[in-house]
Amino acid sequence: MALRRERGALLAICAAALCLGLSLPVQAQLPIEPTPNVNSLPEQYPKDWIFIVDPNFFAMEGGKVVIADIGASVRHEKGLLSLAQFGFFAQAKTRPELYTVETFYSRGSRGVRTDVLTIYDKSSLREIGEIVLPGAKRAQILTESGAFQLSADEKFAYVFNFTPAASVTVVDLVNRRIVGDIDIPGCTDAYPLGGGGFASFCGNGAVATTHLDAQGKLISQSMSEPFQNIDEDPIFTRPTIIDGVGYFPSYGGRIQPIDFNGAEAVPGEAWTIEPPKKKRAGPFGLFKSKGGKSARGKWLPSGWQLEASDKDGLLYILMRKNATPDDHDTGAKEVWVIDPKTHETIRRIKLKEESALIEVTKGDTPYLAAFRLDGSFDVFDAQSGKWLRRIGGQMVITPFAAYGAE
Amino acid sequence: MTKFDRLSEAAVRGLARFTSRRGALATLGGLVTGGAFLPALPVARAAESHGGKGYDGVAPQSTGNPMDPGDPASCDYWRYCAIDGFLCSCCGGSPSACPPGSEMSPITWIGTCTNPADGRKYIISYNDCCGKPACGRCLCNRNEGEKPRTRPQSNNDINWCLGTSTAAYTCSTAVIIGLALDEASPK
Repeated sequence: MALRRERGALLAICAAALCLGLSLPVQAQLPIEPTPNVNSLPEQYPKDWIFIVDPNFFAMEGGKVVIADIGASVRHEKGLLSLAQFGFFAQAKTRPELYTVETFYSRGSRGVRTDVLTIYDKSSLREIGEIVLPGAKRAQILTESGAFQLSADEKFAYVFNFTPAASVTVVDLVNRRIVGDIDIPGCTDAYPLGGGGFASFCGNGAVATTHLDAQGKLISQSMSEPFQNIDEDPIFTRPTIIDGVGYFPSYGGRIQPIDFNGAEAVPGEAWTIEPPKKKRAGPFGLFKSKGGKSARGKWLPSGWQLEASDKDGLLYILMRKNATPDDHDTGAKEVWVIDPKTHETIRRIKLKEESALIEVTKGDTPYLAAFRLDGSFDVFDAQSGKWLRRIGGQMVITPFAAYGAE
Repeated sequence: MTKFDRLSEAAVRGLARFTSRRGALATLGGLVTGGAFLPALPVARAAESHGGKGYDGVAPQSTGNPMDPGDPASCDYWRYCAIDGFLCSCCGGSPSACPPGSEMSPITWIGTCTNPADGRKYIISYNDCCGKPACGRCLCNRNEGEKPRTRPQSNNDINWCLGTSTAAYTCSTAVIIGLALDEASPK
């Protein structure tokens, strides 16, 4: 009997569903979706987007660059590129192209090594060219932008090599060919100079300039006087660059400007980072003060990509409380915003969690991304310091750099 | 030496290196044949959330030698004062040996760590092990006395799988290669 009752109920439900189905308008049917179907991106990315470089230490053949819209409230991940074995990444401003430098082994983690510079179309994210880098010598290091840069006119790419002999491979990005290698013994990295060529930082505390001709060939090399004491208070090799001037923090809390605008790299006067001045409130500032009190203690720059800058030329730097110089790579819970023209710290942004990696977008509303230790990141309004959102979901695993779209 | 002497010497040496093709060899010579490496920070520091006393799910180890105290499977082991990478002790190796089938890098960088048992400063060579997958266990990053990449011989942010048949990084060791000289002692 029970079975019959159940059958009856089932028939009734089916009949009802049929009537309901017949009564629905035809338009309610979902359209057939064409396949294959692949998204594309605009040629010019919005300036709220960032590129996140994730070497993925746990499986370095699986590193990647993630393109993310951090100004939006939804659909943050826009696309991704591969970046194997401590790869480097750079973006062009004058062409709709992105560049990676990677290393591959023919048998995964062994076999024949191939270093390659790959050119991607910014819109399709498809490979549109590649240049094999000879000599199996390109540096494999934790991501630092100075190891892979485009020349000021974006005609050439500079790839830092370390075997540990130091050199720079000059690549012609227009004709997509190798120009040649230039030794920079005792020095590291290649920051483009406005006048052509590049600057490298050397073990004696000086900065060297390599002058190139219009074809990217070596003309000459020169070296500044030593401007830093690496034993006592070295500068980080991870600056932010504002209007062609690199602002290099030091382990001990100074900012060392280096002007890359001319034909030579020119070290400027360093200054010491100070906490914001106290702002007094009320008539004659008699009643209360704010801004400076909680900045007591020894604050030092600390983090991996520990600096960033916005469209207004303000400098953002991770500052760690009660730090020692041995904490240089550790990270911090505060970002200090400095006007490099006046050297004044104008405000502090308290982070949700400690971060060793920050970036600020270059758009009209600058967003501060501060990566947590778990690879997720918080987004703040960089001007007000207001927390907006956290973006995670394993977008990246071990991020080491982030660059705002330009 | 006075600070001025040291500065002058560094400047002259640097210039000499830069202006000569032999400079590349000089740089090479400046690097100690030994080993270490890199990866890092954010994840490495996640390990510290365990109080710096070993890693969750990693059984503590002992050298068996009271003069070499501590847990080689823990980031706070004394030899790891400037290491940056996966601890080979957690990956089938030891502080002084690579996992089976991998290859120990002959080129490396060095740090100076104090042994709490005898108070002596030892020169530690952080040789990387290469050619097997990235171990992934016991990621440890400490930077005592570590310098930027302008001084590669004192920098742990470089993949030191150099001079090996493959540069694929597996894990890092911390090999004692000598006693550090006291700066105050007569030269």
